[in-house]
Amino acid sequence: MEKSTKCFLQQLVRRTPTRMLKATLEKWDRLTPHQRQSVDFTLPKWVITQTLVTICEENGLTMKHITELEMMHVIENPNQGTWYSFQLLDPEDDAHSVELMLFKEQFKTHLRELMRNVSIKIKKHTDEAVWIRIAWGSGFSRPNHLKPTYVVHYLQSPYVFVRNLTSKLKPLLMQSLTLSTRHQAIKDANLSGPKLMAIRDLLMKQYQQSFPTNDASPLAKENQPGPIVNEQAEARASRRRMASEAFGKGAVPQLQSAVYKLETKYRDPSNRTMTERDEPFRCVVKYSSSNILESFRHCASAGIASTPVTPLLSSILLKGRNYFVITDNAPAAASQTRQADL
Amino acid sequence: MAYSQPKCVRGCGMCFSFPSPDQKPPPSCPRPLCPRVYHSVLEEDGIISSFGKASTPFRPPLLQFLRWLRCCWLLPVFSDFQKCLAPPSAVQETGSEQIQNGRRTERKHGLESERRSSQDGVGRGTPLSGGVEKRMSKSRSYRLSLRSCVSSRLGLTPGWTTRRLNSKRKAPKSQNITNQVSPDHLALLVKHEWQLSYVSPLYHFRHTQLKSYARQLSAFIAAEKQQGLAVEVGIQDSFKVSFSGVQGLAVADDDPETVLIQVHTKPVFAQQDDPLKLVWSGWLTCCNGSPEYLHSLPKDFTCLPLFGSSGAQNLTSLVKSWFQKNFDCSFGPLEINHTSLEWLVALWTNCNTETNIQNLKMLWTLPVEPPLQVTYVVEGNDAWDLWSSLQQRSEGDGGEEAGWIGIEEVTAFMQGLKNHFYRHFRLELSAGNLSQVSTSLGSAKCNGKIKVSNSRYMITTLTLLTECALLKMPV
Repeated sequence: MEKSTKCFLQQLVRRTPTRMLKATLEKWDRLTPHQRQSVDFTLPKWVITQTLVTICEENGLTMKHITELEMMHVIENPNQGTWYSFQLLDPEDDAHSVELMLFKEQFKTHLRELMRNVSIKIKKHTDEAVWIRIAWGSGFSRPNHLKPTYVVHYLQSPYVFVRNLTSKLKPLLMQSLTLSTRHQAIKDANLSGPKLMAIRDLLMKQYQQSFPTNDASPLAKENQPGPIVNEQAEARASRRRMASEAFGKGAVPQLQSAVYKLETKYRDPSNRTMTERDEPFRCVVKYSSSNILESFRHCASAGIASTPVTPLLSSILLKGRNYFVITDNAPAAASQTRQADL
Repeated sequence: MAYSQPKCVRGCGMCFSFPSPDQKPPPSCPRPLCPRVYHSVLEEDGIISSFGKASTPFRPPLLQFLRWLRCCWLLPVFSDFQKCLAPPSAVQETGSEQIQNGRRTERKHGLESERRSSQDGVGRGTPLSGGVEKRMSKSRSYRLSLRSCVSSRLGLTPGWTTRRLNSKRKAPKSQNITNQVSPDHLALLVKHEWQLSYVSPLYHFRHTQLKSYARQLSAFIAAEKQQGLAVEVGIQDSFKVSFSGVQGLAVADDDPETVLIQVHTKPVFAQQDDPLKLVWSGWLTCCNGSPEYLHSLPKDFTCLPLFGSSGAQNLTSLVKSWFQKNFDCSFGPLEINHTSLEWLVALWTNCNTETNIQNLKMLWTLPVEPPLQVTYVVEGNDAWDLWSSLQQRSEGDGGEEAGWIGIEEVTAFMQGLKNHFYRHFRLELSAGNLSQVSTSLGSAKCNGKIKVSNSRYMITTLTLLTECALLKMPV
């Protein structure tokens, strides 16, 4: 076994928690049942690593097999690192006919044309997602397997999720992705976070949506207690309704942060100096919580956020993004703010 | 004269509208569970009764003071016990008539205005100050202690508190203390983030005996560490403690000199001549402490109310218990409340002309489910522009002394920042807690962690914190 392969295996075992290691090894299916049983998972990590290295050497496993193991582990536990999402634009006429084999072939050809030393591994997961693992090398060095980039793409959907990509390599990946999916352009979708599934659900609208309506639901109408209307309760109910319109009903995607970069002017009728100032009042606001959409919904229904909810907050769900740059509109509509297109 | 003032059954000192114990306190009463038992404990101990009944023999202040200390140790479990104390001045013979008047006027304002005014911490002249002053001359130390006890929460504004956070502060001037404080000490102070505590005055603490204290403390730590160990090989010299005085941090003449404590240890696999490793450091300081309070202390007490520590938690508790045993003092956590955090925001922003603060970062925690954290970062120069625009306005009003910052300006500045936020997000930041502020000059967290990154403004920050510690101190 080569030194780099050994190094990679050691790093992989070190990073994987012991309890997951056992399940992943079983799934990997490169070790015989006897060999699997010979690994004692109660021992310290470095002992397990040594045992695995010897077993892999016995079986004559190469880097290819070990990357398979890593990919399996990542697919099982995708909630690590930060996933960035991208959106493919302007599909060509035959974009819908791209299937897995064609995409695989095209992507590999395009990326290899741009970069010589690159190792690509593509695997289709059960939920229609195509997982791509790319280990980058440079013109003269061999692919670095210790820092691979992961790409998840749902065929026939315009979204791509990427983890661990340096800005230098970004154009190369973007170009090969657009070409192989038969699109013309790709843009940053301004949505990122550690939970891949939450980001996917948000972009692909896979959550319980509620639509704005002025009428209360027919069921609620029937249950109304006659002509005497409790004003408080009504206000509370309307707050709740508006909150769920803006931030969804039931379980919402677990988004953990949202960032707003404000570059608007400071306005306060009682402070002339600041209002007359030409430069914008620059600030950055970051919301974080274990589930910000749920927090916002609670804020709105508790009255901490005034209803109707400002479009700034509700566009997290409507537009499916969590990074915004806010600038002032043209001076004519000075009191309004809008989201600048990125 | 018996203690017969109408007061909240729960003894919170804030609700005035429920005179008889049979009535239910209002839902807004901040003390849902005030254990009445404290009252009886304290009465038995003669603490309340000495105020409440004219028949009680007069005790000398020092004795009273010591009884107080003992009382503080007896009840450390009930961390809130100070709140339950009967208002001291409410039962004073001299001031009672005026208090009644004062109370009545207070009552008209209603609870809401009470709270609001308490939040911004503005001291108000109350009609009873005359009575208080009279009594004060008689027995300063314990009266002060009780008063600070009532006002220790800052949030409470019973009519009888006169001492609270200063409502005006001198604008911080860049002070080059590098030539007064030794560079080693300064580097240490600037490097770490400190966990703050308040300390009651130290009894029989001598700055001249620091060396012997160092010996005693290292012996104490070694002894505590050996507890429960079967084998005692090579532990004797594992800890080396050093005490040193830090000159140059005491500003006013009354301030005792700052004391720095460092604990070094030998790494386990160290060679013979390897240098010792610093594992714990802490300091006790008093920066611009209230001269009125410092003068009122009996002769044998040294007041170093602010304690900062950085290092292993168990060493912190060992050092604390050693101090408690040797100097008859008590420690308590010093949280930095939101008024102090707002003060720091304003004081630091005001420095922007001399030293660029880069970004003003504030962290709010909103009480929703799940908790929402809002990080609000304002560009330093823009924050300063807003701050200076507010100052121009208040100077335009006239009457403001140059070089002083008032609490009104601080509140206006925070309000300005919140308004800008509300205009965009329609979200009330005031519903949450300001839990952290930071600039390039330093950072402070509401749980009492502070880091001062720029030595030039250290004095300003320490002055504010000393004031907080003096207010928080039960004694």
